Amino acid sequence: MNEIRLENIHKSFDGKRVLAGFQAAFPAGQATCIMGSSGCGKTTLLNILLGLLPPDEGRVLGMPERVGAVFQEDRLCEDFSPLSNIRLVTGRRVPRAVILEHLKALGLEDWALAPVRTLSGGMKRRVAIARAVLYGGDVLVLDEAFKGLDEKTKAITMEYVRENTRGKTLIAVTHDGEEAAFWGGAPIKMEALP
Amino acid sequence: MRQAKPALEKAIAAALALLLWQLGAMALDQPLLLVSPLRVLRRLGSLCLEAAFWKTVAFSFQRIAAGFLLAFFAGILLALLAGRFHLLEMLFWPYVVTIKSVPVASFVILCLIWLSAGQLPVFISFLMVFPIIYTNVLQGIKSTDPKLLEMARLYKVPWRRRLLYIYLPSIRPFLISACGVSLGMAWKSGVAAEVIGITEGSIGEMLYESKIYFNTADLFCWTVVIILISVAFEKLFLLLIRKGFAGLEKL
Repeated sequence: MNEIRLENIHKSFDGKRVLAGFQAAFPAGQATCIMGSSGCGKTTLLNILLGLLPPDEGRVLGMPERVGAVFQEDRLCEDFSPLSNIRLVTGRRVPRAVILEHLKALGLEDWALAPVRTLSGGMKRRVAIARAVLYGGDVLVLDEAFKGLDEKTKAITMEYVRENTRGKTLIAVTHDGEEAAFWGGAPIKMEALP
Repeated sequence: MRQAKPALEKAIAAALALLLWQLGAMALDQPLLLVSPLRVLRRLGSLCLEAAFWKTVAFSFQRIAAGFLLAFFAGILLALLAGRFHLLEMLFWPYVVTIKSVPVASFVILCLIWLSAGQLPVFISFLMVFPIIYTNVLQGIKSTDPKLLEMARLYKVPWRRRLLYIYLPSIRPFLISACGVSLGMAWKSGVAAEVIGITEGSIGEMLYESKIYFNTADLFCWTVVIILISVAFEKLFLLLIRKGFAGLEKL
């Protein structure tokens, strides 16, 4: 597992510069937070990191093939159960019992087989988090993953992520100073370009 | 109770329409021009007792249902391929547009030259249904949530699973709506083809004969039969589709 590096990343949308010469390094096996005001390009940066958006210039180095991610939206298949949504990405690689155990750890044991559309927003969030964790890549990317969870659930969910991603590289975008402190390390601060 | 009220309202409206038809027939008193619903019912009752009636119904049902089912599966399959490969969508485009635009009568005449009269209803039903299923399923594929597809791309979800979990739920409303429209079309066009082609042993032939012999009671009677089979087939098929999708969600 290598350090992940962003070198001289440039990105503009319709002539509006979002990232200009951005550089950062994410140490392997550690958590790094990205903080910054809304609209400063954090999600754009994550999309470039995940290979979902090509940079106009610059390159991403050291990103492995398998990466789990929690997007700002849940991106779940609403007609299917949490179990099926997780199976969608893991296939038969992860046994059903293990998936149910993870859902139980997040307080979702009674909802494991219910269609996702019947779950609350907070429950859906936790399903999306369990899906990213169970996918089992070496890197986990979290884009404001705990937003919308109440304090108690947030604490349980963050602890669940930490427990299940030990030794992995974790990159988390957050506005929350407490969350950044929880993950530790020096956060990368981003600012909107003029 | 919420469901019962519209059903009751519809039943009352239908009963009123039948009453109006009966009164109109009685007032006109010309069975050749307008036969009464009671007479149609009596004729239907006597037809039901004849083995030839069921043979005729089975003959037309087999062919029109076969045409519909062929179009249903071909439409879905080709739309899935077109959704996956843009080149195929472009290659299919002229055929789909042609089938959609050419009048059914032209196809019937052409098919009478190409095919036997027995194959005609299969082919005509197919031609009427195929573009509706194909276009709607393709539309369903194109309206799939791009964010879900992006998620699937990131997690390297195999295409078979993408189809089951992401594309099929997106296609569902389009497919159900397309089936609702095309099931009726299959019967209308299939029987019309049988009438024009005078397909031996078909409902269309019975309609044709009722015209030749000015047998209005038979004409109305066979029309009622077509409506009943068409509606029953539509309800049954849509129920199966809905059950199929519900089963998929339990995967």
